[in-house]
Amino acid sequence: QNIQQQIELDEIAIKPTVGEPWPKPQSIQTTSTRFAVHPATFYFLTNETSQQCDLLRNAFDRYYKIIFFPQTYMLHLTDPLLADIKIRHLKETLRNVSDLGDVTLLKRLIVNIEQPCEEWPSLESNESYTLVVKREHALLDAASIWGALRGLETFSQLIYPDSDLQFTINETTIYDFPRFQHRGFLLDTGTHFISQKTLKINLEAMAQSKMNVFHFHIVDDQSFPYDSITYPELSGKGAFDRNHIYSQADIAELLEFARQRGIRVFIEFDSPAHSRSWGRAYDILTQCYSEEKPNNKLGPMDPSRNTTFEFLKNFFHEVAQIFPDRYIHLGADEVYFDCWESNPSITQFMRQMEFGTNYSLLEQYFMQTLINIVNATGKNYVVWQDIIDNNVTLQTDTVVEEPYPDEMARVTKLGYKTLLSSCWYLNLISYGDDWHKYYKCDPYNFTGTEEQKKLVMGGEACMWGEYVDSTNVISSTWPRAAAPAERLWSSVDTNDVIEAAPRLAEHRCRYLRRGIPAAPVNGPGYCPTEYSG
Amino acid sequence: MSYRLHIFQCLLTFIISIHHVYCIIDYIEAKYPLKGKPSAPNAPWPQPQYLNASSDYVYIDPNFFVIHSNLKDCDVIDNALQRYKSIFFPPKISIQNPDRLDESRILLSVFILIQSKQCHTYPQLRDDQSYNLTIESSYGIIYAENVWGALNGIETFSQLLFITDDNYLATNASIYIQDWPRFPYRGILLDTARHFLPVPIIKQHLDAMASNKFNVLHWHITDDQSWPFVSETFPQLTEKGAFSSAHVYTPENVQDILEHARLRGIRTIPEFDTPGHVAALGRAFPEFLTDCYNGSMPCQAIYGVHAEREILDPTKAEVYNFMNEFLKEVKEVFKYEPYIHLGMDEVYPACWLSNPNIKNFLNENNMSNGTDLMSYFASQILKLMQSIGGKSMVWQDVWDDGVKLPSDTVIEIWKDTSLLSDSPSWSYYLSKATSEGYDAVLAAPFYLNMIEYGKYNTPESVMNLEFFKWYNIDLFANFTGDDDARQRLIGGEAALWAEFVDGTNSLSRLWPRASAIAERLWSSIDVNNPEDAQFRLDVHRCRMLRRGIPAAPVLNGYCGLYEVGMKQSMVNEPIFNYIH
Repeated sequence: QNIQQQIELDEIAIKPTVGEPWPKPQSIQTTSTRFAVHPATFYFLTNETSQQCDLLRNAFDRYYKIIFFPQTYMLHLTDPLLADIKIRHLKETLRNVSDLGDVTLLKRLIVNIEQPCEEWPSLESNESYTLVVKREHALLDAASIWGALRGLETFSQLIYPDSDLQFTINETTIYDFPRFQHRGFLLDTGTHFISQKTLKINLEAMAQSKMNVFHFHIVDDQSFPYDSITYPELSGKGAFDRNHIYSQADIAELLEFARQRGIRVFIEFDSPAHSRSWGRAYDILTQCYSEEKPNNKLGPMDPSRNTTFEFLKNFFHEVAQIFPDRYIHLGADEVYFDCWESNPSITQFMRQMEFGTNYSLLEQYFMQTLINIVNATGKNYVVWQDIIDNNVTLQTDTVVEEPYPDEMARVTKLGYKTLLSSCWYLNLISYGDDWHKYYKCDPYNFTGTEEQKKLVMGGEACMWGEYVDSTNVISSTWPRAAAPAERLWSSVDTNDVIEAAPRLAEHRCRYLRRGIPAAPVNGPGYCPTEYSG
Repeated sequence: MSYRLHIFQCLLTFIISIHHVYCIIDYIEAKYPLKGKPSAPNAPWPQPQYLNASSDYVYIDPNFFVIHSNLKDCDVIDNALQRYKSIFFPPKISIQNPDRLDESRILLSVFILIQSKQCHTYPQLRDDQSYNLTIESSYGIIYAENVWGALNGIETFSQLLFITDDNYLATNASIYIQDWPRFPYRGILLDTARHFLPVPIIKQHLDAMASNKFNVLHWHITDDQSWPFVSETFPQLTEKGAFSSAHVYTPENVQDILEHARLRGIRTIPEFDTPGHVAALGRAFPEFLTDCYNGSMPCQAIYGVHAEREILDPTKAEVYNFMNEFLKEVKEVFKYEPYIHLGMDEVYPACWLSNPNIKNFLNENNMSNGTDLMSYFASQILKLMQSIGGKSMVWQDVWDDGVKLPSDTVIEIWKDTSLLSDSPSWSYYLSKATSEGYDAVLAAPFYLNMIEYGKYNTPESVMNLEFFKWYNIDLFANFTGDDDARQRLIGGEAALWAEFVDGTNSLSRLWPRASAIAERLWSSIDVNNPEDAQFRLDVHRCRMLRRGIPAAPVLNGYCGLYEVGMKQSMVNEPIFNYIH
C-alpha cells in the first residue's frame, strides 16, 4: 500500500472538512468518538412500528452503494451489470472486519417513519428528521418518508473514508428540518437539449444537496423536446430533430427517478412568449405585420383566436395528467407587445374587448383564460414576475417567481406568494469563487413585514441553457448550486463563507467520489478522487 | 478573395441541397438574431489559406477506401493513418455503402506524398508545416515537404468528410487546397500544479489540439501549489511536493504524454518555474528557499508582500547544484525538445531584501537591488542551460528587468494594460522584444481561464462574447517592428491557468474557446469575419464532439447524434477516451 504523503493544504488551499454534511443541519452535535462501519456487517432496517414502502427499500439499496462503493454508484445508471462486477472486485480489496482492531462497529441504522408513505412529494412534505449515531446502532426518526430520505443522505455524508478504519463515523446527534419548503433548481432544455442521462445525474446531485424541486423548463423558442401525446407534431416539428426529444417513457422514468429521491418535478410550459418552437407545427402564434402586410415573423401566442385556447386547453389537460405535481409553471415572461400591436385582427379584438390600446389588458386576458384552463384541471400555477411588471392583475393564490433583483418587497406587498431566483442565475458565469455571492443572498433580504416574509416559499437556482448542454452543465452547476441549497435548507445564521468553504470543499470531493464531476470552486487544491473523464 | 467568396456560395448551395430538414437556430434569443452565413457541414477549422471546392460531391465506401503514403515504416505516418480511421469512420455509426457501380462518384483513395522522403522524429519550430490537398473525383493527393505538413493535410482531409442525413460519408468531388500556418508557434498552456490533470484528460487535450492545428503543449507542470513531476534524481520533490502520491506524473506517464503529442506533430515544452512559484519545491528542499524576515524575525509572512518563504535563495551554491542536476534530467526526459521554459516571472524582491544574508551578499558583490540579484540568478541558470545544450524560454519579467539573455531565448509576453494598469500594452512588448532580436510568443490576451458570461451585443451584431473577444485579436495590431522583427513574432498561446479547472471541466472550458485562437494563429489575416466564423466554429465544435472531446456549445442548437449522454456519444468511446 502506498503511504500517502498528504501535504498540509491549508497553507496553499482550503482544506476540506472530514465527515461534515452539506447543507448544514439545523442542530448537530458530534464528538471525537469514532465507530467503524463495514459493508459486511452493516445493514439498514426499519423499526417494528415503522411504516414501510418501496421508496424506503430502494433508498436502503441506493445508500448502501453510495456509502460503501461510491465509485461505482453512477455507473448503476448506465451499466448496472458492470457496476455489480466492479462492486465484487472492490469487495475483494476490503479489509476484513477482524482486522479493524477493537474499535466499535456501527452495525445498523434503524429507521422509524411515523406516517404512511406518500406516493409523491409536495410543497407540504414534512422533511424533518432526527438522527442519532451512538455505539452499535444508529437511529433515524422521521415523520414522513421524505424526512427519512433526507436523514439517509445526511447519514451517508457523516461516513467518511479513512485510512485505518476504511469507513468511519463519529458519534453524532442531529435534529434537522428545512428552512424553506421549496428548494429548486431550474434546467432549461429548450435552448440546448440535455440528455436523459445528464438529467438523472443532475437529479442525483440535487438529492445530495437536499434540493427538492426540479423546475423543468422543458421547451423554449429554440426547441420543443416534449413528446406530446395529444399534439405529437409539437416535437415532430418543434424539436431539433427526432433524437432530441423526451419521449413519454423518458418523462415517466424521470418522474420516477425524482420521486425516489423526494424531488418534485415542476414542469414549465412557457407562454404566451418564448413559444416559437410551438408555432413550427401549430398555427397558434400571432402573425406580425410591417406596413400593413404580414412579414412572415411570428410573435407571442394569438389571444384573439379561440383556436389558440382550444389548443391550450387540450394540451394542458394532457400536461396535468402526465405531471403529478400540484404546481405547473406557466412562464408569462418577456412578453413584448410590438407584434400584437402590428396585427390587425388583434387590433380588432382589442376594440371588441374594449381594451383600448392597453396591451397589458390583452396579456391579462390571455393569462386569465389560461389560468382558468389550468385551474379546471385541478392544478395550481406559478408565473415569472414579468407579468406583474406589465401591470397584469392575477388571483391572490398565484405564486410569482422572482427573476429580478430587489423586487421581493413589491411582489409580497401585492400579496403574492413568491420564489426567489434573481440572485441565483448560475449561467451568468464570472471568474473566481462566485459561489460566495450566491451563498450570501438570502430570500429574507428585503424590507417587509412578517406577513410578507411568510409569503416566501423558497427559491430556485437557475441554469439557463444558452451556453450549456450535456458537455458542461454538470460541472458548471455543481457545486455552485450547493450554495443556494444550503441557504434554503440551513438556519438563517448559517451564513459565514469562511466557515462554509472547507465544508463545500468536502462536499465537492464527495461528489467526485460518488462519480459526479463537480468542478473546483475554492481555488487551487485537490480531491483524493479526481475525475478522468 | 473572389475565389473564396465563390467557394462559400458553392458550399452553401451544397448544404441546402442535401439537408432538407436541417434546423438552424439563427439567434441567441429570438430577439437577438445572428448575422453571418450558416456554414457548410464540412467547413474546415482553422480556415485554409487557399481553398477551392466544387458543389457536387463524392461518396466514400468504408470498406474500399485506401489512404497510403510514399513513406514506409514511418511511425508518425503509420500511427496517423491508424488513428484517423476512427475519425473518418466514427465507430458507433455504421455508414452506408455507396453504390459501387458508379465509380466516378466514389472517392477511392488518398495518396500522401512526402517530398523530403524523411521520417522526422520530432517537430521543430521552423519546420515546414505546409501542405497541398487535391481531390479530383475518385482520387486525392496530399503533398507535403515533410511529415508535419502531411499531418496537417490529413487533419484537413478528415474535416472535409461529413456524414449526410441519409448516412453516407461524403466530400466535395473536386477540392484544391494550398495551406500553411500564419505563425509557426501555436500553443496551449496547461497548468497541472494548481489542480492535477489526470493523464487521460491531457491526452484528450492533445487530440483536441491536433484537431485545431495547435502544435505546442506548454506544460506548466509545477508551481507553488504542487509538484507532480516525478524526478528520478530527486524523488523527494513529489514525495513532499505533490498533493498526494496519486497526484503525480511518473516517468512512464510523462513519456506516454510526450509520445502522444509527438505523434500528433505537437512539441511539448515543459516549464519549471524558478526562482519564484517554488513553494512546492521548498517542501522537499526547505533549505533552498529564502527565509523572509519581518524586521529582525526570520520566517515571517507579511501577507500581500511575501510569505514565510516562497522564493529560491540565489546566494546559495546548492541551489545551482540542484538546478544543474535537475535541468540535466529534464533535458533527458524531454529529449527531443530543445527548449525548456524557465518561468522567471513574478519575482517580487521584498523577501530577498528583508534577509540579512542576502543583503550582505549584495554588498559583497556590488549589487544594489533585487533586479541585480535576479540578473545574477538568471544568468547563472541561463549559463547552465547552455552548458547542457538546451535553449530557454522565459516569461517576459526577466527581460523586463534588463537581464542579458542568449539571443536564441524565446520571450513569452503575458503583461498588458488590461491585467496590470501601469503596464504598457502587449503590442508594445511584442514590438520591443522582437526588435531587440528575440523570438516572442503572445499569451497576454489569451488567458482562457478568465471566463465571462454573455453576448457581444451592438446594434450591428450579436455574438458569443468570449468568442468575439478572442477571435478579433490580431497579433500584429499596433506592431511597430520592422520586417525582421515581424518574422520573430513566432506565434501565440492560449493559457488555461488551473485555479478553477481540473479533470471535471478543463476540456469543456478550453474547447472550443481555444479554437478561436487556433484560427487566428493559423489562417490568413483576412479570415476575420466573426459573424460567419461562429457558424463554422459551431460545425467544428460538433466535429470535436464526434471525436470524443466534450466541447461546449457556442451557439444555440444541437450536434446530431454525438452529444454527451446520447447512445452514439463518443465521449466514452475507448478509442477517444484513455481511461481504459
